[in-house]
Amino acid sequence: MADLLREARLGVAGRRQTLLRWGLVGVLLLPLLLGGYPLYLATEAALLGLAAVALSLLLGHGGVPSLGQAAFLGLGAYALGLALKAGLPLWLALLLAPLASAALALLTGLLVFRTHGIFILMLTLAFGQMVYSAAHKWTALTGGDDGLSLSGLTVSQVVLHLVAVGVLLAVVSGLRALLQTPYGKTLEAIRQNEEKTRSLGVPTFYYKLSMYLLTAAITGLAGGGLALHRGFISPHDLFWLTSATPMVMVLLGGSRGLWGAVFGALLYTFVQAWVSSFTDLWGLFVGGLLVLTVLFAREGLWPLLERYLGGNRGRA
Amino acid sequence: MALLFLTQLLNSLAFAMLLFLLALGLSLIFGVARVINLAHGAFYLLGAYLGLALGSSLSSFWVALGLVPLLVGLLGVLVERFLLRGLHGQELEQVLITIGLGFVLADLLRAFFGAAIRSVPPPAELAGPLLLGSFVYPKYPLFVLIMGVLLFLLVRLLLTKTPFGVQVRAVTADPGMASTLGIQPARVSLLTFGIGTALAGMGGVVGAPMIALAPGLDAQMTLFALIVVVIGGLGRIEGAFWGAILVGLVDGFGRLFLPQLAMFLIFALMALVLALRPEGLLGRRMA
Repeated sequence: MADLLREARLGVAGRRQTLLRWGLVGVLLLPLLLGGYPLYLATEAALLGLAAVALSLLLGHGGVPSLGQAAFLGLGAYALGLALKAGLPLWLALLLAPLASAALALLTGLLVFRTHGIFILMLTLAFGQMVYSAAHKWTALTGGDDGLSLSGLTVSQVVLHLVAVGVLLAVVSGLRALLQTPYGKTLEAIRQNEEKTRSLGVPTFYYKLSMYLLTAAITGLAGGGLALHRGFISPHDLFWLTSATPMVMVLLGGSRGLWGAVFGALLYTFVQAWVSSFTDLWGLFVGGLLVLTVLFAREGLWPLLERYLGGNRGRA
Repeated sequence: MALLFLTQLLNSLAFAMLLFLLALGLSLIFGVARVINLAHGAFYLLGAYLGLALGSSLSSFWVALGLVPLLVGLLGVLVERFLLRGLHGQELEQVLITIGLGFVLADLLRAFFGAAIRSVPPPAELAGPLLLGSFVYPKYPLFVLIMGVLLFLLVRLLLTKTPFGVQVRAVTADPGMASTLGIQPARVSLLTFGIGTALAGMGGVVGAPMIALAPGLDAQMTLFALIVVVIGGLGRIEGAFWGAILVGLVDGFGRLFLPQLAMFLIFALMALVLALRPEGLLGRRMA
């Protein structure tokens, strides 16, 4: 929020960019007037956007290609669901969701950051699948294939939506501010050249690990929110193919600058709902989109939009 | 008990040889082109459905076994040339393309062949059981087992004795050095991608009578192949072979004795190998 206000004081290009961002927020809030299915989708977009923003920080600013985000999303969902089943109050359950995911990130991160590049991708995938098979097979705890139903829970759709959008804005602003601090600058340096940064005496391992924990916690919170929103948790939401969804959102919107991820999540959610209204070829749509984005819009759509509307001074 | 044990051992080894077919292609592709082909399972499924369609229209399993790998390999060549070539060296982008391609292929197959589970009968010559005294075992898995071992020996021979095999090994070891010696890594890479996907397609034809076809099988097979290759060592065919046997045995006996834990343990093993010995149990460090 402070981010938006600060940039409002910038020049014309900056003002246009700010307008563009407020426009995005407006689009997220608009379905409040419509209610029903559009509102349901908008909440979904805001919560998935939260997960996409986390991945955007991880991938675009930390240079960590994670294919295991579904595990953090799912663990957050199960943590919330199981906490509520155990009779804990909602605020405590919402606190446990990010904590559980951060704990998993700590355990796996210690191993993940021993390797680099393509091996990180495979390692996060393997850990994600470990969590999936645990959720799938530990039927006593998770209900296995039948999933976990959160029936009997009454959260107003409007309140949930407002909170989701509020949290999303707070997280984007907070993370963008974080990127301006020495900590954020160091992360950027590590992404550009880890060897060089380490030779300057920076403990790069701990920087990457702490960022991994932070993004996992955000993803876990998003997962908890999604569980509340959908009222149902299925182990198949943890399967590795689900990790492709936030990846598509981030790539579609643009991996740098975090606003792109929000835009990507919104675009993806609504286009997917539109596409699935006339065909069930969901994979064809997501897969085609992924291939086309990588081939032709590597930078993502949001920076293009910002540059087009914000003059040549636009920046991601 | 001993007979049950023997049956399960043979089942596991037959499944392992199927995994070897998949992992061999994945490993060759990674070694030469440095691409983790996460569409590998989709190529497997494509091969399986094509085999099903050709096998029933030409009513010959053997014609399908010869023809399908060619078709799938051709598609693989096109994919390498038009989707992956331009992104050489950009690992993440290439992996994402193969994920997207896998989604597209799997969905097209579902649209075309339907979502119903299809089980494919083995060819008439290999149908039915083999009787060895009191031990009764179906012929088909034995055929897969023998074929896998023969293929392993054949590929090993090809890689060590033929000029193309030497080029493949050279590019796997060091693409830069290979190209200074007059080898064209791009050409080797193209052909290897074709061969790797053809092997996946062949795996589909061979595997269909053992594992019923259904949507979602592609993602499972991709994961299995990836686990095998990671555990055995990326870019080494011995790694793919012994890795496949290890994973096949853990999977087969895991299902028998620890059905709840088997997959969890396999992924845990993969994660440990990746973290502590990224070159795999049998691999060497690559340049």
